[in-house]
Formats: sequence, C-alpha cells, structure tokens
Amino acid sequence: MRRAAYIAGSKAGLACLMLAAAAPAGAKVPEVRVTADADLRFGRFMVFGSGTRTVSASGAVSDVAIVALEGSSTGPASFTVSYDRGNESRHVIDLEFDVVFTVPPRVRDAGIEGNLSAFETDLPGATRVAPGQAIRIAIPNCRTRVCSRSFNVGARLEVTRHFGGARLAIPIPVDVVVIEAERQAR
Amino acid sequence: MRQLAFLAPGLALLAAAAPLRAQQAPGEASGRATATIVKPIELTSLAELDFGAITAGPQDSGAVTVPAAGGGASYAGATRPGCAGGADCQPHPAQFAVRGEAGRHYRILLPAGGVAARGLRTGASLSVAALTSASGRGTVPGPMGELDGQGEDLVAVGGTLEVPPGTRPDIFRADLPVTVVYD
Repeated sequence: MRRAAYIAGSKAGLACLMLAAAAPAGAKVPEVRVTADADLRFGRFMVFGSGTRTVSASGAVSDVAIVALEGSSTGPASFTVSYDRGNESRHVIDLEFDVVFTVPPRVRDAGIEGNLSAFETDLPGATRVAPGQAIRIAIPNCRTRVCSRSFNVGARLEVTRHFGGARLAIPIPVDVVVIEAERQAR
Repeated sequence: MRQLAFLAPGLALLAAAAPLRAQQAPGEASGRATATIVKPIELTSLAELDFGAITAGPQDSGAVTVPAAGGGASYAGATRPGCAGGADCQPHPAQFAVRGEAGRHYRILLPAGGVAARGLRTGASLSVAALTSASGRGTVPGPMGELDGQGEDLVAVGGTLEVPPGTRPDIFRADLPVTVVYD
C-alpha cells in the first residue's frame, strides 16, 4: 500500500512535468498582426471652395478643382499583414485573412474639412473597396515562422475649404482576422 | 493508479485539441491619410500704376518711368511732368496687397512684353513696357517676395510709358495683369 502510494505519487509528478513541458514559459502562440508602413500622402495643394484629389494604389494622382503645388510628395498607404505561427508548429500552412477598413471619420481642422472615399488596393480582386467590406488575402505555402504580405491602399480625398489652410490627418482604421491557417495535406 | 492512467491520456487529448486556427486574436492598426491644404495666395489692387499728367513735344518721342521701389518718376526725351500739384495727377507705382500662408515665398508674374494703353478719346495706343515689381512692402526690387508672419505683404509695380512724337492729348488706360504664385 505504501509502495503503491509511492508509485502513484511518482506518476502524478511525471504528469505535472508533462503539463509544464506542453506549455513552456517561452511559448509563443500564433498571432496575426497588421502594421501601417506608410501614410496615404495627398501632398500639398490649394483648393478654392471644394475639390478632390485621388491617389491610386499605384500612386497615380488625379485632381478635380485642385491647384497642385510643386515639390509636393504623394503616395499610397502601405500595410503589411503578418502571421507569426509561434513556436508550436513547423508545418507548411496555407493562410487566409480578412482585412476590413472601417469607415474613416470626416475631419475638420480650422476652416478645412476633409473625408476619404473610394478606397482601392493593389490586391487581386480588391481594386475597389468599400469600408466594412472584407478583403480576402491568401498566403499559401507558408514555410517560415512569420509569413507576411504587403499591399498598397489609395483613396479619394474630398476637401472643402471655408477659410485658411490646414494640415489634415485622417485615420484609416484596419482590422485583420485569420480565416484559415491550415496545415497542408502531404 | 487507475485514476492516473485516466489523467495522462486526458492531457494528451488536450494538447492535440489545440488546432492552428483556434486561438488568434484579430490584429488591428490605424493607418493615416495626410494632406496639407495651403491657403490660396490672393492679390488685391490698392492703387493703379499711374504715370500722372505729362506734357510731350510734338516732334520728339519721350518716355516716363515710374520705378516700382519708389524714388519718383523720371522723364526722358520730350516728356515733362504736367501735374500742377493735385494729388490725382501725381505719378506713382501700382500697389497690391498679397495675402497667403505666413512665411511662404511667392513669385510676381508680369506681362513680359508690356501692355498697350489706349486713348479714351483718340483711340491711339501707347506702350507700357519694362514692367518691374518690388516686394517687401514695395521696398525690395525683383520678382520674388516673402509673406510675413501674418501671411501678408505689399507689392508695387512700375513701368515705362513710351510716348511717340505727335501724341495727341488724351487719357490713356491699360489693363495690367499681375499674378502671384507660391514659389
């Protein structure tokens, strides 16, 4: 009885060790992340009353009722979606994410109002994107611990000038969720 | 013993039941769109370029020059000042108020070939050429200027009126287009 109790105690201790090994202190669980790498830059310009400037996902600029100023830097926004599988798996996996842009707020700074619309990306199948619309991004054959994909975002800025000038900064909230992180069948 | 034998497979099952897709929290970020809307530069006429009252000889040509940066008119050839002292017949440069974004540089654009002034009675034409400008409240000659801390400046414009021989008495007027742009 005493021996049996010793064995039982010994195995219970082993089970506890296994539990600790299954969730080590340095364990890193899978994580999806989206980072904003570059602002969507509409540059510097003048507007009398109202006008629009569109910066496409490829960086092309088109204006309506805008007076462009020389030396103005423009360009699309850039985001990177990355998936860190942690240290629990070394399999080849296929990844799918949904990226969603939230409706950006209309901003006003002194006598200038601005809002964004007509979002577009350089992702296949998502040239035109409405806020709230999910954009599916696939990363097949992910073989490294961290797999990522970058994409550009353009939009149209509508500006109304009541008086003066201003520097507008409009947030572009982005959310990403993992739809699929599936181990490939051999 | 029996209890332990049951517990150990339970742990194994727990480990196997954690699929890859189950535990990711959504990621979020906030990008940003930026734009700098510059206050448009504006030009308001405060005073016209006026060559004043002139007398000219019937046989010879002459010219009247009104400098942009002040200093008074100069008369060449057969022209002479003809103002008896009234304020409305004194020559003076044009003056414009410039308003825009504080501290920004701007450029003054004038017609390179001058403009033609037409007589209201005779229809004769006189040439206004060699147009010049001055910024810094009219004190700095040249085509460049800088708006002050309030986003303001004064620009003066001068020129030379060429009077050919035989010009009959008249009142001559011309439209003088002046443009300012951010540099």
